[in-house]
Amino acid sequence: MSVIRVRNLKKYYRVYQKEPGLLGSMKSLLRRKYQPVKAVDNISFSIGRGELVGFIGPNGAGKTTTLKCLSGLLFPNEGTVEVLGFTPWDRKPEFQKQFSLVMGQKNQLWWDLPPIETFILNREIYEVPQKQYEQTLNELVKILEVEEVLKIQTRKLSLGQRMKCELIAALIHSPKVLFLDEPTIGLDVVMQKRVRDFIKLYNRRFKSAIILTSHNMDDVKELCQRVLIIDRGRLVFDGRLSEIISKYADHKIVSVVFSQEIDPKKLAKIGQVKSYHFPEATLSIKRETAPLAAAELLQHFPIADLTLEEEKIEDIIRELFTGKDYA
Amino acid sequence: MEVNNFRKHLKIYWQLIKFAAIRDMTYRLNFFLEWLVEFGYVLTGLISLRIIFVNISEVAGWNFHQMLILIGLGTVFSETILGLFFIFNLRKLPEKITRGELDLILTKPLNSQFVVSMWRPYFTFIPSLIPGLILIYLGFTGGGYGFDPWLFLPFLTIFLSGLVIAYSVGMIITTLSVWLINATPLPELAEHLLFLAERPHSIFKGPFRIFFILVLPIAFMVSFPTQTLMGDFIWWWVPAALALAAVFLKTSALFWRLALKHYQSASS
Ligand SMILES: Nc1ncnc2c1ncn2[C@@H]1O[C@H](COP(=O)(O)OP(=O)(O)O)[C@@H](O)[C@H]1O
Ligand SMILES: [Mg+2]
Repeated sequence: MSVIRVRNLKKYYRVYQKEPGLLGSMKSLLRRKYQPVKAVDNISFSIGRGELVGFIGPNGAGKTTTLKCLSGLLFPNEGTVEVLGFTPWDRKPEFQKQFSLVMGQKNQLWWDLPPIETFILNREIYEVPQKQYEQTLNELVKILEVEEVLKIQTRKLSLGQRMKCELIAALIHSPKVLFLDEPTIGLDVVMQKRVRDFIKLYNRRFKSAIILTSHNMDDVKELCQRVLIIDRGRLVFDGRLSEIISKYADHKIVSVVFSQEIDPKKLAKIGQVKSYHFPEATLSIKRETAPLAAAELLQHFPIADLTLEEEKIEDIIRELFTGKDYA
Repeated sequence: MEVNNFRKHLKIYWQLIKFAAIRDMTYRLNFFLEWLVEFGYVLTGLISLRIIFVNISEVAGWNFHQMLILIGLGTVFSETILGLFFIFNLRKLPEKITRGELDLILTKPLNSQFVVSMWRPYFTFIPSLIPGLILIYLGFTGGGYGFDPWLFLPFLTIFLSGLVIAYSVGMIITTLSVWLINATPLPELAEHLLFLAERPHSIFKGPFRIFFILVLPIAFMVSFPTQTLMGDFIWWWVPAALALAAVFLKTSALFWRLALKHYQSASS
């Protein structure tokens, strides 16, 4: 049973072209030139109960726009979306009570007040019964280890503490569907890891469906079995993380250990040398010719050890995205 | 259902008022200074009024003490409108829209119009009502007017309806910012328009008089309530004020709903 169903979703922004200067402003008042930006261009997918799906793509590919449509913030140009059986942009309170959107760069905590005040306000907004509220709060506070900061003004908290409290504020009504847009952005490595662990735990514990966007491959690799890859508003991949290898990995990685120093120039004739520090070297070689190249290496070089490996997933994806930045 | 929803919003508003109080008190000096400015503002108004009335005895049929009451009520009116809806709410709306700051709050099970127009009351407005009330008191005692308690309810009805109308007009104008690129002056424009209400309605002649009763009914905001306070009351003001308030509020709600369909958020 799917919790989220997206069919042929399109969202084009109208971006007005403003000519510089006062005259330009006045002209644009009369006749506006605008260009449509095809932020989301015909994508379809469904997500089941309890699934934790990674949504990745280069900057400006349309990830946030998709999540905004799924949250009912934006009216799409075309297509249908069903989340928990609701059309998000109808903005029904019964729907809004059951999901949450967390954006790494935006905060809902009241700046001048301690986090606990925001939680209490959210309890009222989401009409969470007092008992359930206390139970959820206690549990989240314990997992995230923020007991001591609950009553300190938000402005005085560290970025990591604030992010943890943002998560609590977003989860106090136990949403069945959770959209996480770059939740680890700006955090240090340790804090990234803790947020990641929390997301994993939360997903297991509460069986909520989660879409996670991130440009941090570690997030996706560690958390998501399934990934959606979006590129220029189009879905280019939907499947298990491991399938990315068979679909996109057109190279294999050959690692060798030499028994004597060799001429790097000769090595370069075999394949693309990624690194050479005697005695080790790695080469990237086209998939089809990899066995041949391996044989050639064994024949013409003093080899102590040789292994043939798949490219690393993050390298493949990074390569897919390199040089792309549409924002 | 509707009633429950209303109760929920009332409860949340109470919470928000408490938040606003805590925050405004955190900046106590600010609070005090603003109050001082407000007081000075009223005082200078009073002095200039005194100067005007040195040479003439009436402005559009209003004598000095009646004008005091009018200005006093006008102060109460504008401080309330500004404090509740404008200063931290509608005034910031265009900016919040361009920066996409509404995203998180708009996903919550709340009436979004309530959110954008009432989320952060400006607490300082409450002491700012005091100078206005003092002016009203001075006008009444100085002019030797009596107050008919039977007229209190009609007065309150017209005045509150006037506030609702004023808010709705401000909301409708500010809502336009969803479509416009550089819309920061819109709320200010609305405020200026509404401050026309602080003049006696009788200064408007001919078609303007009708216009400011029916099309942009500022007559119901300060002028008619003041006249009611002073016993110069016409019965149809009450039903007219209620009807206009309902129509304007509903219009602002429909317009806001339409605008939300065009909300583009912001790139982040
Ligand atoms: N509010 C907006 N108005 C105009 N263009 C936008 C807006 N939001 C995003 N865009 C554009 O739409 C495209 C997709 O953006 P976005 O969904 O934010 O991508 P991502 O989250 O994948 O980085 C980008 O080209 C971006 O510049
Ligand atoms: Mg994004």
